[in-house]
Amino acid sequence: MDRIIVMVKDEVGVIAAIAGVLAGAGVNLRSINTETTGETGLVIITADNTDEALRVLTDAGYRAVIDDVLVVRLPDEPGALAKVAEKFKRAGVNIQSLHILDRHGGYATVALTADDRTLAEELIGQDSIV
Amino acid sequence: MNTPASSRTDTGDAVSEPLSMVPPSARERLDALLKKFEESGRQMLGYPTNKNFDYRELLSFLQYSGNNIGDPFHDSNYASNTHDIEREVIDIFSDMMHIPRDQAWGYVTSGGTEGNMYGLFIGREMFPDGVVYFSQDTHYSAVKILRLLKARNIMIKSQPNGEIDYDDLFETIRINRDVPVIFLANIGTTMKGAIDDVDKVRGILNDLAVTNSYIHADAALSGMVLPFVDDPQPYGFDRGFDSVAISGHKMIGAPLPCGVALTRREYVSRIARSVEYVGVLDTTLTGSRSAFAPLMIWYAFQRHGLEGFKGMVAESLANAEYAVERFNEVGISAWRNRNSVTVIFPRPSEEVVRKWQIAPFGDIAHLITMPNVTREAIDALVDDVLND
Repeated sequence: MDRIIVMVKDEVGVIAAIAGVLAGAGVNLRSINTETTGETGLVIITADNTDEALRVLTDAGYRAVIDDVLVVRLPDEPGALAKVAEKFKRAGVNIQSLHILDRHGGYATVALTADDRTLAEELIGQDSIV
Repeated sequence: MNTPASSRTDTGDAVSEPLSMVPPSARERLDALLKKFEESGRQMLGYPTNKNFDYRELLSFLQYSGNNIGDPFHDSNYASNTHDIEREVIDIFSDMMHIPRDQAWGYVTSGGTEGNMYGLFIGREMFPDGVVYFSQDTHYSAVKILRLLKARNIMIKSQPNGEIDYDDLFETIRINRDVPVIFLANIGTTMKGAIDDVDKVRGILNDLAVTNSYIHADAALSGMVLPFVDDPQPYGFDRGFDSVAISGHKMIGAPLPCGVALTRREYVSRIARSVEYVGVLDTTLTGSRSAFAPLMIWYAFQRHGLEGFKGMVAESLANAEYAVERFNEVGISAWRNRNSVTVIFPRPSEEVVRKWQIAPFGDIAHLITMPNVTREAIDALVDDVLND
């Protein structure tokens, strides 16, 4: 089942707010997990209707992506993205797209697609993948 | 009762509408919609559309089915076209973007997104293996376009003022220096009005000895600002643009979205080869195109002239500075980029956002001092934010 990754501020009530948005649209949550770094957090959910969940969350103003992209957390420092690009290049993996989703608390959350996802995951390492 | 509606133009004259030809219920809906447009237009401060326009002199053309299908620089079998007018519009923008008329090619688009799609399409056609680089502050439509074009792309960090982070750009291109670079330059970002320095970008490409590169400029709003200021940031084909998209409904003002896509004629000739197999030498993106949009843009330049636009831009920039000063005077932190009519301030309440049709993003919001935005409106907004 596809996961939806939602970028949020790490503040009280955010999980309840997301659950409320989904419930209001008749979407049932299958699972919900959170990760926080500094003042930002990621809420990772699975739902019985992924497309609808993504739509209502986006409509409600949340920054949400489905994980057909690889979501990666990197230190927000000069050259951090370039280092990832270099690693991929050496391994012969082409980055199709690389988009910054969020930058807060010294970290950048990045959505990445590559022509070889399995190898891409290996190269990044599980510790950095959301 | 069918009451003919009326509206007012920027000169304050009433415009009479013809007697209604639709059922009363439809007429009522039209009247209500017109009222909504009139009211909402008065308090729109967050979107870059100049509402000071008057195209009444062109109304008669709406009786005809005009169509600018095809390349404006080639003959069309469809007689009711404005291709000659469209070519004059392209000439005007060629002058403003510093490219000799005989080396330029372009057309009037449906708006900024089509112009950006056209520029990136040419970049991709020139360098099919290229990677598109663009900043975090780039308009969301760029991502949509890149997906459509299936172009490899990498987003680069932005600086706090919205300008691209040149160090990050350097480092990222360095890794892929053997791959052609297609750079999407923001000549005025949507949210902060930031302008990427194309001289610096060209410098990076030179330092890294990148031999194959292409720069497309998204100059939706600032493409009609920089040509009219005394000390513009680097812009134009003489500073490295390979293509540019400029909106027509923003600084010029128009009732319909429109814009201009401009590039080098030599590039289009190459594209033409690849579309020749369809039997029509049409290098535009769409088929049927508006004949009215070029007419409006041409008319606006005939009416105001370059001097007129220069005056409008000067007043808009002065009003932007006035807005920054007014916010700061009352203790609200506001700022703007140089040569920008976009004023950034802390995001106010939803009530204020709705009242003034402000575009918020995260913790910030912006006011755009288009020519129709008055100092009275700025004062009223500042008061509302202060009392928020």
